[in-house]
Amino acid sequence: MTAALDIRGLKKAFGPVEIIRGVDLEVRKGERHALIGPNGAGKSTLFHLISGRLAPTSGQILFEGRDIAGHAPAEICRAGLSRSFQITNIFPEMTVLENLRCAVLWKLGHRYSILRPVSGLADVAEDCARLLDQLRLSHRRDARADSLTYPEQRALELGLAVASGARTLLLDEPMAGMSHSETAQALRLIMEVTEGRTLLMVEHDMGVIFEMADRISVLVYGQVIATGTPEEIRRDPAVKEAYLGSTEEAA
Amino acid sequence: MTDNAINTPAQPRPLAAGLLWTGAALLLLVALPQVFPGRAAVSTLNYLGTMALFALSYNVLLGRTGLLSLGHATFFGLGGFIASHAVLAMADAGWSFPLPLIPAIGGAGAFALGIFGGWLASGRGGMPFAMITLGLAELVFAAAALFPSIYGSEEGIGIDRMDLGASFGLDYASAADIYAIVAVWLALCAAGLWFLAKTPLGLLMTAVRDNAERVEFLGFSARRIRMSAYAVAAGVAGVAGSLAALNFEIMTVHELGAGTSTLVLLMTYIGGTRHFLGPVLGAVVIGLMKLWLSDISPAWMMYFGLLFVFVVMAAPGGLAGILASGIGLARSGTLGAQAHLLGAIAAAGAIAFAGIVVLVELGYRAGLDAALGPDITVLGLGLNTQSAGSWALGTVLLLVGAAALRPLNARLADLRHSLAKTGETA
Amino acid sequence: MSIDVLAFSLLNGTLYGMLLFLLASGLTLIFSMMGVLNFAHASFFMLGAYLGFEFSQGLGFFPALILAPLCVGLIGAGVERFGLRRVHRFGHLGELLFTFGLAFVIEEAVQMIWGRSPQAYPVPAALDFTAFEIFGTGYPAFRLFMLAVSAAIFAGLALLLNRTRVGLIVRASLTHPEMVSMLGHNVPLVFMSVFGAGSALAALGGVIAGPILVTQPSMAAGLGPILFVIVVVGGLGSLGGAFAASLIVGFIQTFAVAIDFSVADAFGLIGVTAPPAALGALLRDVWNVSVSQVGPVIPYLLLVAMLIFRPMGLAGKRA
Repeated sequence: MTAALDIRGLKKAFGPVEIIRGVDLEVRKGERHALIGPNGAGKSTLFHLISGRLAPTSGQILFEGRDIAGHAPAEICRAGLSRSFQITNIFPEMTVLENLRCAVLWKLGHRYSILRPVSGLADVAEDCARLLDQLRLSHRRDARADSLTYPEQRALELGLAVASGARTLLLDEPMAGMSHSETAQALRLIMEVTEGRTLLMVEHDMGVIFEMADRISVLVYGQVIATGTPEEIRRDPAVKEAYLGSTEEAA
Repeated sequence: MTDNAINTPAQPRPLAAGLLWTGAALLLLVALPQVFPGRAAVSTLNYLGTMALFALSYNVLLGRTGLLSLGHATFFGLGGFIASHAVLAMADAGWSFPLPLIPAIGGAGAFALGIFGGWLASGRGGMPFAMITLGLAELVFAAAALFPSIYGSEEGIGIDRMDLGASFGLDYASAADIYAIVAVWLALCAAGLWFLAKTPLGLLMTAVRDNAERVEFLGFSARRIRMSAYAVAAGVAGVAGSLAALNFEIMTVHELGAGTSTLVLLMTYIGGTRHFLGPVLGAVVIGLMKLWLSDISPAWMMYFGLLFVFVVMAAPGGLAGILASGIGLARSGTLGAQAHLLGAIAAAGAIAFAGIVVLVELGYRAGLDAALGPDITVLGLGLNTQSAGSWALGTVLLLVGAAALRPLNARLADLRHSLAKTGETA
Repeated sequence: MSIDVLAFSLLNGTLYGMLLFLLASGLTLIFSMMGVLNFAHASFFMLGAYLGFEFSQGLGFFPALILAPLCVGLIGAGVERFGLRRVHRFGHLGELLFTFGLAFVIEEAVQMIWGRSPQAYPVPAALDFTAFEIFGTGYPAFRLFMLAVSAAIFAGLALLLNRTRVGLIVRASLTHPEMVSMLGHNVPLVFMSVFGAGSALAALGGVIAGPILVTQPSMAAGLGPILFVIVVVGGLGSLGGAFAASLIVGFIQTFAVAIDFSVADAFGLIGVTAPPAALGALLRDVWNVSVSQVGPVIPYLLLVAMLIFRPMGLAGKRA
């Protein structure tokens, strides 16, 4: 079976500074894979490389067996891999419904159509209603996205990634900036809407990670130093030294 | 543009309201030449209708897709030249082609050119887009001098719209006949653009305006969306240019120059980019002001510029935004509580404005129009460019008005804040 | 082309290119640091020419060379402080529209004050002599002076950018625009200074170019688009690219004027002296096109070619 994502020898340098220094990472189909690592380890950069925001300096990113390294974000999304952003990246002046409509148009084959009004497309309406329901945003359907509360905006951010129908999702700190109770809710939401899909997620909340992840990879200083089940990662001496040790002291 | 008073959320408009609007607009189009008969008045209506369509096309870029084009007149002008040459060629060949369909040719030509131009300009939005559209417009304008057979020389390309003969029971001798053509094309194109805004492509254009990067991560090419918007805008501008050619029976290089591009930007932005009919409002107001002000003041261009800067700085929703917030205010039921402050603000604004008018008029008389002598009547006041008192009057009016505006605006904001609070608790 | 025309065109092309760079550098710095494309940049150039004219009438050319840029620099700083900063909340589109409106108002104001016809802005008497002769034709000293001033500014700018702390901040902002605000520098003050300094540079260009180019209200609208071509062709935000593009455009335009050669001449070389009667009117137009006529179009053709073949510009990295 080919992996959902198979990253080989990926490198990215900004000028003389190499941020990603040869990452090898495999994400299996259907698994929830968490990516952890100290600040500045290159997690966000790695996400940008996979999702096409940045082009790698060298190396391969095989998505379902196909090399997508250096491809445009739109192509990668069409291939079935979408992402959410750490800093909320939605359409602020459009309503929640319009946000979701944009996200489902490609998947449903309407693309750049000018034949019928969006409001008259039954499949779009149905899909959006289902998403609104799942995201618990039905009551905010016609609110402008920038008028939503922070957790609502994060839910919409997640919704945009999910709505595009991708089989693999990259979630960049979906719980960033949330309170404890909000985090618990958000986690439940993520588990629910990503059911049956492959998930690669960056998160700082260790409780969340060890609760939800099937496997964890640890990125330190631009390299993956360990991959394994939460139990294996907990026991891994290299991880303890490089990462967990320091956070335990801080906590 | 995050002003909440200006950006009312896009609510799904009930069908009944839509029909009401459509009916009212059509009725207005039919009634106007009845209300304003006379050749000169109808000719003005033709001009305003043409500019309204031109501004509507421009707003596909500026308001809908968030793209600032500085060369939109290129397609207005090229559409007009294509239409003119079509009329000339068909008259030469002795074909009978219905004159009202000529704008379709101009529009199609401009659309095709718009696809190419859009391909060049649409790689990025924002500043690069603005600069590239300016460059392309200058290219076409500068190249015009090389091809006198296409663009005519100084005097332009003239046509006789009666050369194609009568059709649809009209012989196109009178301005009223042209009005029929303008009105039908305006209604058709406006309906088309309204529909476009509702389609997936229209939604995606709004999305590109809001957050072009995110659009890419949803599987779409922002470039292709920008390019589509550009081509559509070009095509409709071409129709407008064709209408101008039929109305004036002449096209000059001036029509595709920077001045025309600036005019459409002013009309659209001052009218309001976030309301569908804002550009129409702007085209009518600015068009009328242009006709009327240019008769009574040498400074009319200056007033346009100052008005534009004022709208950019203080009322980015434009006239339509001001109207909409006025209607919102009337509906909120707090107009009575705010009336005294609003009145004071209006008075202070009027004083400051009077100061500006005095200074600008004095300035023009002292500089550009010095030959007309130092005495000048401004707003009923007898002033003299050589008297310090005249200049002081303008300065004092401006400063007093401006000084009063600041605290008044702050108080209004406070009042609205507290009104909103009591509204929530009630 | 004779050798003397070649020599003069080389000199004039360099001169024109340096002058363009004087403006393009300010525009690039403002764009890179503030993300604002200043549409009024050429208007500040024009204000420089007019104020230079006005001050030289009263005080002489050399005081004007200092005073006019100073005044325009202050005006520029004021524009940033009281205008641009306020529209910042409306995003880049608001800023772009603001500077566009400003350019419009400045052009009107110039007409209001000085009228629509060109000003008689003479070459200062102290520099009104022939500097040297090549092949029997004299080269005016004033042009040499212009070249010297432009070169001096260029050198000064290079020193400032490469050797000083201010330059370090500016360079940092060129490569990492988002970083500067995090460095704890007084960003509003930096912005105001950069905008003022850029405006002053443009005005300096205006003072020295005023006597040679015609000082008239349309000079801003004529030069502005050329500047944007340079900035795009050079690669947005790249000073090196802007320098190269300035010289390229300077040479192209100078040489185009100097070359007296048309399509008809080209056919003349192969013995065809009159357009075949069968050619349409359009082709007859093409037949009559001469290089000097094409001159004004070439920068824009360069822009289009660049967009097709190298959209990131000469030195641009960010596509």
